[in-house]
Amino acid sequence: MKEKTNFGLETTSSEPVTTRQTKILARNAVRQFPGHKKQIVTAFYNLNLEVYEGEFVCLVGPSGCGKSTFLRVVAGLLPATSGEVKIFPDPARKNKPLNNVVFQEYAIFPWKTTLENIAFGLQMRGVSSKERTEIARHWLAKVGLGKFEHSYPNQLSGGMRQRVGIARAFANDPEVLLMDEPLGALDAQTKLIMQEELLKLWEEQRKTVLYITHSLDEAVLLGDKVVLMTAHPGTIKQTFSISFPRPRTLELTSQPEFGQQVYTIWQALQSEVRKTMEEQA
Amino acid sequence: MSISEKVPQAEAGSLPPPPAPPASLRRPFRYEPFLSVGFVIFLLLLWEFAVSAKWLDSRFWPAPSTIFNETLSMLGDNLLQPHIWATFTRVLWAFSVGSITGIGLGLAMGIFRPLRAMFDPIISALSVLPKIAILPLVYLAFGGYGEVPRTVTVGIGVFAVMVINAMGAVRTIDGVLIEAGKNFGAKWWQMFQHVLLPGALPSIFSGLRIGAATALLVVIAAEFSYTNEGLGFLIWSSWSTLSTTRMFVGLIAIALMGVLFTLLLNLADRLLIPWKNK
Repeated sequence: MKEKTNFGLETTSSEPVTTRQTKILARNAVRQFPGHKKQIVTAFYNLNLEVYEGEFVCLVGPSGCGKSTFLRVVAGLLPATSGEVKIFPDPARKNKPLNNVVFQEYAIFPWKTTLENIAFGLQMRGVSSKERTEIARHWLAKVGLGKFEHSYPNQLSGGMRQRVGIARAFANDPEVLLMDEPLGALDAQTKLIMQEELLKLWEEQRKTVLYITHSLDEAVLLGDKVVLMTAHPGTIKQTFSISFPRPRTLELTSQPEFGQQVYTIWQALQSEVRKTMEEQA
Repeated sequence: MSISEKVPQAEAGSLPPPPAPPASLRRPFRYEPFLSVGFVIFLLLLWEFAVSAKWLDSRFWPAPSTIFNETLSMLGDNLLQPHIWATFTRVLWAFSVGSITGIGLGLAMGIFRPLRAMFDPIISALSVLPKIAILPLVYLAFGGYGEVPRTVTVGIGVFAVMVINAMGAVRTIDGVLIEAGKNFGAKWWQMFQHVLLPGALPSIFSGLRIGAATALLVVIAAEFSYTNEGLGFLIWSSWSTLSTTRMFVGLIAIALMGVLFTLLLNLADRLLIPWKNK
């Protein structure tokens, strides 16, 4: 993989666009749940989304628009009330998980060491102790936590904890990675470092990713597509293709085109954010 | 001034080291431990002095030195050990059986909703009941007083504390950890072993401390009657025969037993919950 950005000079797209496989599909997906006083709360409705294999799709929308709920439906943690949400498995891959989630709250186990946390998915699938330790060590080194193998989460900073969360998901080698605002709880500077690390990891692995974020900068920097959701109850409002060449680095954010792209999306998003604010007032 | 211009002395590598801290910033003298121990010694000395100066009636308030000597002579005549042993074995049995069954049912109630619905009213009623109040009922159930119903009563006290505690411990585990367990493919038993049990363990240990205190409380009260062994009997019979020195010896022995249980639980806590104290 190239370390330097060849901004504007060369694209790295190797696969022909026509044969792209659909990996995640949502068709007329609806999720509702019972609220107070026999009311039905709709988290999202009429949601149609297609994510292709190897694509990095960012889902943005105002708070409470149902994007986290949608991610949990894709993950199979919640059922859809109606419609269809599915991940298409690769028949060539056997005994591998369909999806793994990186949670905003990290959700790594306080009672497991860094190494045990990263090996967790493998352990659940019955991978031998020797093999899973090897794989976990590999990922531990990749996220720069080699020295913290035997540390417990409460000995790590927020950024380090989320590195464990990210490594745990990558180590389990799922078909699809689902990330629910993974950097949302981190401070602004740590966030920049983590964005860059995430880019590097992803450029290397090219997994299919559905990524939820509040930050438009982050969405444009990381994504091939930015999908915008409406205010609550959420559905898809608009999809933006982000055509900046890869590999990308944080340097991209210094380009005027980057700022223009972010602003274009913001113009579409701001009316939804205003609606949300008025509703909550 | 351009934004990239650097302030000269901030050049990397040439920064001067931070100045040595002044003496006023160094760790201050910690007087608290000395004050804590010192004040206790002061009170004991005051007590001793108050007795010898006849401010306190030595028949009701024997001097600390008298209590100490009495303890030694009782130990020498093997008069204290049987009581300590009787109370200790009762508590140990009641605590082990009561806490294991209580934790078991509590965890199951925390995990399975129907079990919770079934047992919740009974457990709630039991938990508000002062545990010693059921002693006569247990005597009745066992057809008379004796060693077994006494220990059972203490065990029920521990059991009630631990059921409530273990149930709460499971139910307060962060939901996102359970989601993570599911998402990473944990099956039923794996979920229990890797997520629910370790997640509940820290609260269960706080519960065990309360359970141990309950056990000591109930055992002493249960030993006040229908037995001639145990620290509760020693305290009660010494009081009723006005052997107040022996009463104090009994009080000190039960207090030390409480300290012993606390130390053992702290040790177990450190061994079983290594992630908490690092």
